[in-house]
Amino acid sequence: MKLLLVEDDEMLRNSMSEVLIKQHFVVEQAKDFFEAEEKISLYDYSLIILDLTLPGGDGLELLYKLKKIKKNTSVLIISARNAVDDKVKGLDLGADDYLAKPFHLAEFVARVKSIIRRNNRSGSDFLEAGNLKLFPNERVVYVNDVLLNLGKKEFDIISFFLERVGFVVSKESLAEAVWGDNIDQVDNFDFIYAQMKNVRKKLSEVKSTFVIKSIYGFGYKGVVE
Amino acid sequence: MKLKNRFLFFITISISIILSVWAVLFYYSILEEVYDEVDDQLDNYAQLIMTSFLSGSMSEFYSGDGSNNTFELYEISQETAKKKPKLRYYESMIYIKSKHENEPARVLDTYFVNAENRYFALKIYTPILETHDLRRAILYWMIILYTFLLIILIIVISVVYYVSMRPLYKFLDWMRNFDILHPVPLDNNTSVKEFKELCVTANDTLQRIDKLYQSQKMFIANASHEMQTPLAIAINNVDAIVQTDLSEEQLKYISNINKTLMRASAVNKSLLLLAKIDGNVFIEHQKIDISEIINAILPNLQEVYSSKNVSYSVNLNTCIFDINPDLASVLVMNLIKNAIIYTPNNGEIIISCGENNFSVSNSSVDNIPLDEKNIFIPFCKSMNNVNSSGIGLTLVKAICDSSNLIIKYFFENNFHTFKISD
Repeated sequence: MKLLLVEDDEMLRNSMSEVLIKQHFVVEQAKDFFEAEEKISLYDYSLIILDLTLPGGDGLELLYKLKKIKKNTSVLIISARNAVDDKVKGLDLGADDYLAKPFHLAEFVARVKSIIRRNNRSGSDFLEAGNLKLFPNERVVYVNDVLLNLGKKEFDIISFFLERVGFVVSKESLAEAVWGDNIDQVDNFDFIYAQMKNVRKKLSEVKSTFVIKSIYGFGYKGVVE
Repeated sequence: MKLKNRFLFFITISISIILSVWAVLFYYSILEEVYDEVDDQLDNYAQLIMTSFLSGSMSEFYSGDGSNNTFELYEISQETAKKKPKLRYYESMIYIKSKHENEPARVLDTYFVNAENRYFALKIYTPILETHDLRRAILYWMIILYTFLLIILIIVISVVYYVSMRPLYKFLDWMRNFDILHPVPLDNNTSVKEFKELCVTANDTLQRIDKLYQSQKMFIANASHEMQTPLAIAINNVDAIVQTDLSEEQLKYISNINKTLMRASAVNKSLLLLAKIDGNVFIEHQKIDISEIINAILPNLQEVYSSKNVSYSVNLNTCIFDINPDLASVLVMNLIKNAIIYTPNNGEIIISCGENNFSVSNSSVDNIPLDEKNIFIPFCKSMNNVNSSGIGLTLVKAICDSSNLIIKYFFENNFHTFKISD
């Protein structure tokens, strides 16, 4: 899968590129409006990651142009502006998703994969790792075709780790994703430990090969064993 | 005292006194002239009589010259003469034959000497009823004209004052209604130099204040925005490190770094949100039921802070506010989270929601009320909690201000309470 990464900050661009390459994507880079415009007109990409604050022009303008010449390319817009306008305008213009800076790379990868998945599969949408299958729309999880009995939070947790297989994520990120924004600033993560204990127990009971490992002092990591 | 009243009061008093003094002086001057005239006539008449008498041709003068003037001429002794003043004028009553009654008269009383050193007293009477009438008429007219003049003057002065001062009152009105969030320039069409200057200066000041305010807002927004990318880069690098194999000790420090970066990022996002609220970005609003938002948010919060073992009393009725939906969520989340954070372990939280208001109360750690002046100031932290960003309540207040809601804090029965109403 060929992706185009449009981002003017070099350090950020390199780290985003690296992490995508590790996920077995082919990544092209553009560092300003003109380079991006040129590449878009010459080549086709499965997904374009577009930073809206670009030197040389407005990212939204680029998006508009892109959608005119290559309607079917997926777009993930990222922005430091944090403006409600940007998000609305971008999605209106046909972008698939919007990610605000600063973001964790794991989050970034999850969004990229999510868009690719959505646009590639016409049939039923599911996430898979090892012998575990998760169906986001139906909110059910099967391990070896055995339906798991899961509470709402437990399902959300498994879903979260499935989108970030192989990535270490902090408990703060987990809290923020599953319990909501602003929840990461707590003293006491006991509520997470309690839920994680339940989830891991349920997964091991059905002998799932998708396991959530605890990274001591930091967080967790979902892996396939 | 109001400027207008003070002005009119002093003007009225001054004019009244001045006019009164003038009137009195005028009246007596006129009267003096009138009497002088009468006395002059008496003098002339006396001259004639004395001349005729001394020259021997008296007969024509015995009360018969057509006027009602009368005189008495009789001889007196020298000693009597010496005792009298040479010339005296006074008023007295005399009997007027043709009118058959007594009337006031002016009297000239003198004496003279003839060639034979014989002394004669001469008294001349001239009726002055008309003079008295004249005097009354003068007084009467003076009073009327005085009053008339006084009233007209006061009216004219008042009108002139009002017309001249109108720009001043317009200016005062403008100042009173001045709102930094919606500045309106002063429009004062006047030809008076001082007021024109006042208007120009006021508008200049307004522009300066507005520019300053806008640039402050821009500064905060820009600063926070600039922070985003470096924070993003730092967070991503920490992410990358964590994916490699680290010892427990390394992980501990990395964990601290990560936590701190996320906190900085959260503060920054709050600042940006604050800047956006101040900048009136969230203009869309609709009727939102606050109790529904509370119901959606509360369970998560309760689970997250379950280790504090707080007891919750929740009493929710439909509460509709006209507010932007995103802001409503931020408002409720911040208030409740704040309450939970500042409740001691095993404390109590009361949330209630009524028709046009809702309130969140939490039991207090130390029974000391919060300082109302400080609680909404950003980053003014209480000592109890290092983890709070210090900007939660500021956000709450900013949201209330921009949505026309009123927030009140009070401390009662060892509970801190925040109440938001329409």
